Amino acid sequence: MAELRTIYILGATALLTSSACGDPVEAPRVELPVIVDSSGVVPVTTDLGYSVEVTEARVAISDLVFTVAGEADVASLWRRLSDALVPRAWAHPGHFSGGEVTGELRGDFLVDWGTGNNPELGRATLIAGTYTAANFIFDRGSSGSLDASDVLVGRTAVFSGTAQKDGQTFNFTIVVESPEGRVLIGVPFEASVGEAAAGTLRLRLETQDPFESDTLFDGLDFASLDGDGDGQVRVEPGSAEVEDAYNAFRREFQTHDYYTVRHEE
Amino acid sequence: MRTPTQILCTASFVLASACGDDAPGLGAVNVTVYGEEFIEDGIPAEEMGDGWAVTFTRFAVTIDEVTVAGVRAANVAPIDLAVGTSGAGHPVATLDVPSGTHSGSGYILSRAEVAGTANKDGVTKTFDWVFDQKTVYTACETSTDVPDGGDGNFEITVHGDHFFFDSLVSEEPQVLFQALADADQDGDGVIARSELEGAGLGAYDPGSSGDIDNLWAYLVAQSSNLGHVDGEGHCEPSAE
Repeated sequence: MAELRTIYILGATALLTSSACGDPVEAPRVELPVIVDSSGVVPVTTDLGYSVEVTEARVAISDLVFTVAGEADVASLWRRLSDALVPRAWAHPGHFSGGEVTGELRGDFLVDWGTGNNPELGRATLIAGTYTAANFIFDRGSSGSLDASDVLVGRTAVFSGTAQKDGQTFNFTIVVESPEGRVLIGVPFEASVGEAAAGTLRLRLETQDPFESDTLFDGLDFASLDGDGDGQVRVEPGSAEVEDAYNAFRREFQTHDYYTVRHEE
Repeated sequence: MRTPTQILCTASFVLASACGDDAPGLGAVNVTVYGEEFIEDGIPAEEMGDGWAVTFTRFAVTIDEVTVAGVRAANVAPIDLAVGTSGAGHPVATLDVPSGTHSGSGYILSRAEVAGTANKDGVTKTFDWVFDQKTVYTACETSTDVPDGGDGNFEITVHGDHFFFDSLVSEEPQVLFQALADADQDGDGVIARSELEGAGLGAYDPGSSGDIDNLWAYLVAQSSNLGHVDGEGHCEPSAE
């Protein structure tokens, strides 16, 4: 379905370009594989002094799109096409604030940043241009693609690992449930993608904000979250004992600070 | 000194105007601003997600640079949307514009002074906040029909309930007050700005940027989402 949609959009792009200019000129575009890049999942030291290592980082996402800044002609053309196919999100500031959508990899994906295997998510289609950002939707894991007992079914993300401080080790699991349809806007993606571009687009989770010193786990006091002192910490929605920690982590997780897309030739 | 070409062009324009073939007529646009029932009458408990009822005693907005059909209105004094109009809205300006259907209108919401009370289970909280950052609303999602020799209408609609949305980005946010009530740390019944600045976001979703970390900053951001047109029409908001 997603492929059909892309083909339709690109076909319509060629048609509109032809109609507008008189000569049949197809907008330059390129297909690039999107790779799950786990190199950004590194041990970090949090603001509270915990040394955190992540062993599991699985996130359900959908509809990865790529944006260019400004109102370039080709971008406007793309928007006309997109408007014809999908109602534009006008609701509030933030939506598409990174620019005009001129590239996409549609579909539902379970991104596993914890394995180091760096699998391919799929092939994105982009109109040639200078890109500034990427967006995607935080999705929910589906029982259709996961074992029914998987904690990610109906949830957005699960992180597991260890946090150490002052000789104590805590084994943690954090489960996140993002609001339905929650869009992540403005993932940094600075790349000039030419008509002859090759290589890969690498979608990274960064446990440490590459632009600031914050970490994804800042503010989590694992010792205080270990109420029974057994060294096991579980943070998930619906648990009043860890509600503040859950809300704080979910907010961090849902910011663009901890994600990047890079084009590597 | 005019060239022959200029003279011919001018003559053609005058003839065309005289014959009425291409020259547009003129009409007027009545610009109003309306806070809907939520601001004029209050937000009843059943419309809130947590049982609080909110009443605005003052919701004064400063609307500047209203532009319809390329014609800009003169700025006017602040208008208190809490004063009832029975649906008519408050007059802002009347603009003389070419007849036709106009889009791409916009305006600036320069300031909002918002005061009121919230009640639940016998508990009353009051608030009196000023939001003075300008939000520029452009490319508003509506069209204004102006008949030749007649009037069209352009309504700036202010959605007061957006202050109580629990998300800056969700299409279907909850409308809540409890977190704001809880920010009244000294328990004096007044939710002060300083208390909001010291209050965490709880379960609120401030969006993707990560630069909002207290309830006052959240309300300031939310105040940029108040402006609409002709009811539910959206515009593209941006900070000036």
